[in-house]
Amino acid sequence: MMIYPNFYQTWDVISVLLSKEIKMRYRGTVLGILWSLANPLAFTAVLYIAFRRVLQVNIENYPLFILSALFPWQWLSNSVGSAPMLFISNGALIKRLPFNKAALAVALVLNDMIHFCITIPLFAVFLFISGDRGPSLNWLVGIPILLVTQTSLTLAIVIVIATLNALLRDLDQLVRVLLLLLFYVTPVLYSASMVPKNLEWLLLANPFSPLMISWRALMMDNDLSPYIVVAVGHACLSLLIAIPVFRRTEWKLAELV
Amino acid sequence: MRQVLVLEKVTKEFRTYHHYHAGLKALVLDPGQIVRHRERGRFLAINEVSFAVYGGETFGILGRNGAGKSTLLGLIAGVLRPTAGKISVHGRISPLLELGVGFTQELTGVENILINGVLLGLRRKEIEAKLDDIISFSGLGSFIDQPLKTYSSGMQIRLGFAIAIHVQPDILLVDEVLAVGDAEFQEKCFARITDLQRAGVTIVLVSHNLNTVETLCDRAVWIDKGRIVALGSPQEVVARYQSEIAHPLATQESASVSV
Repeated sequence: MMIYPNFYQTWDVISVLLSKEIKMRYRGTVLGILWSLANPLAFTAVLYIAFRRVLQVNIENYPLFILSALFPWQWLSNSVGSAPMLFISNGALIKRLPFNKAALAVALVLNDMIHFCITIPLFAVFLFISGDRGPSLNWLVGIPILLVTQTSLTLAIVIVIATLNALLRDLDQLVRVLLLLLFYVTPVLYSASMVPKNLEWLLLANPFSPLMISWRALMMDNDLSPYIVVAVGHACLSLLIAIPVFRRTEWKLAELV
Repeated sequence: MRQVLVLEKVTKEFRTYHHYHAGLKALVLDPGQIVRHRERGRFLAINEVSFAVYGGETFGILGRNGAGKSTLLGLIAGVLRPTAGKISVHGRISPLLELGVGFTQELTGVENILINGVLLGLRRKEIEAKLDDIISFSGLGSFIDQPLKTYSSGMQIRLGFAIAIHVQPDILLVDEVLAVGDAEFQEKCFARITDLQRAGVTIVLVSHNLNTVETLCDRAVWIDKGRIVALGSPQEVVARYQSEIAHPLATQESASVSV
């Protein structure tokens, strides 16, 4: 690319796209960024009543237990859910300007990551209120590792889906269905230890499970779970698939969108 | 004069991707269609086009709808990759975007200047340094802090124009934008283009307005069905274009489309 030879310029593209997304999301709303908390909190309240009170699931501190995995899940599912239309809705730009299209995906994932980061201090406050142990030093190690891992994994998935959907427009519908299925296959509402022995392979095969298990272990028990290693493995593997797919198709995007 | 843009036997072939757009179902039910489409669904948009544009000149590209003008511009801008041939560019290219492209209606003029400037290839610091110049050039005054949705289309074009020329391109690509806006605004655009010409900016102008091409351009090329029909002074090219549009050529080769 003649015009975009350097990394710093691409970083500037990411940063303007990111600040645009952040400004756009809550423009004109009174409560602004608080809305990103409304959805998981309402969902948790419903689940608390359904599982703890009605079905009598025996998990201690169930609302926080759910939120510890639901907040990161929300980041993941928001990004992946927006992925199919990412290149298509930016078609006008892609057709006219020779910028690095991966910048669009990076801005999308970072936007949802920032919204997730806002929930971390909120979660810490909830922990204190509930009288549980507060955050420990392990958070300082675990959170950056998990943030980088989840950003990489999500970015890889977003890039592959966004690229493929430029070719096969069915993916928008397919991704919605898959996300719904994955939500129940991934231990968000239940703990990993509740999964029967003969289905444990699912926890390792589903790229989202190790991440959610690790987030929960860190946030609820201050543990650095060995599942972090599996999550990093999934992230590296996805990037190894996504980067060549993107490299080979990037220049064609202007013809497809 | 130095050549700043050289096209050597540039060919662009599009595959038609309709088989994909028919969706997953069609693909699963009839996979054979991919092979059939690969053979049939080719469209030659640009066919061995060669020309050079010299530094400081204004070069017109003329042709009917679907002649391949926009594809050519996409190739020059580096958005499309040629199937065969070579394009060399010396200097910074900046497209003058059509109305609304790259603008976010909900954001203010200033915010849009930053986004657009960076997308056009500038560093954030560079565009911030030029902010005052761009704002005064656009003549938008206090509107610059209002969301774009409150602008008239003329005001939006003024903003787009102000950004595009402050990117300080060596080559400015202009695609039909001059056709928008009222007579007064068009006159302003022409005045600005003349300014740019004097400042030594190379301009590649796509238009099907013969008048524009004749008044603004130093040279022009007429493209039809992906091939060069005529290349030379705008008066000659326009004259040939007019006479042959009136009496269509009998010699249009079948080479350009093979469906």
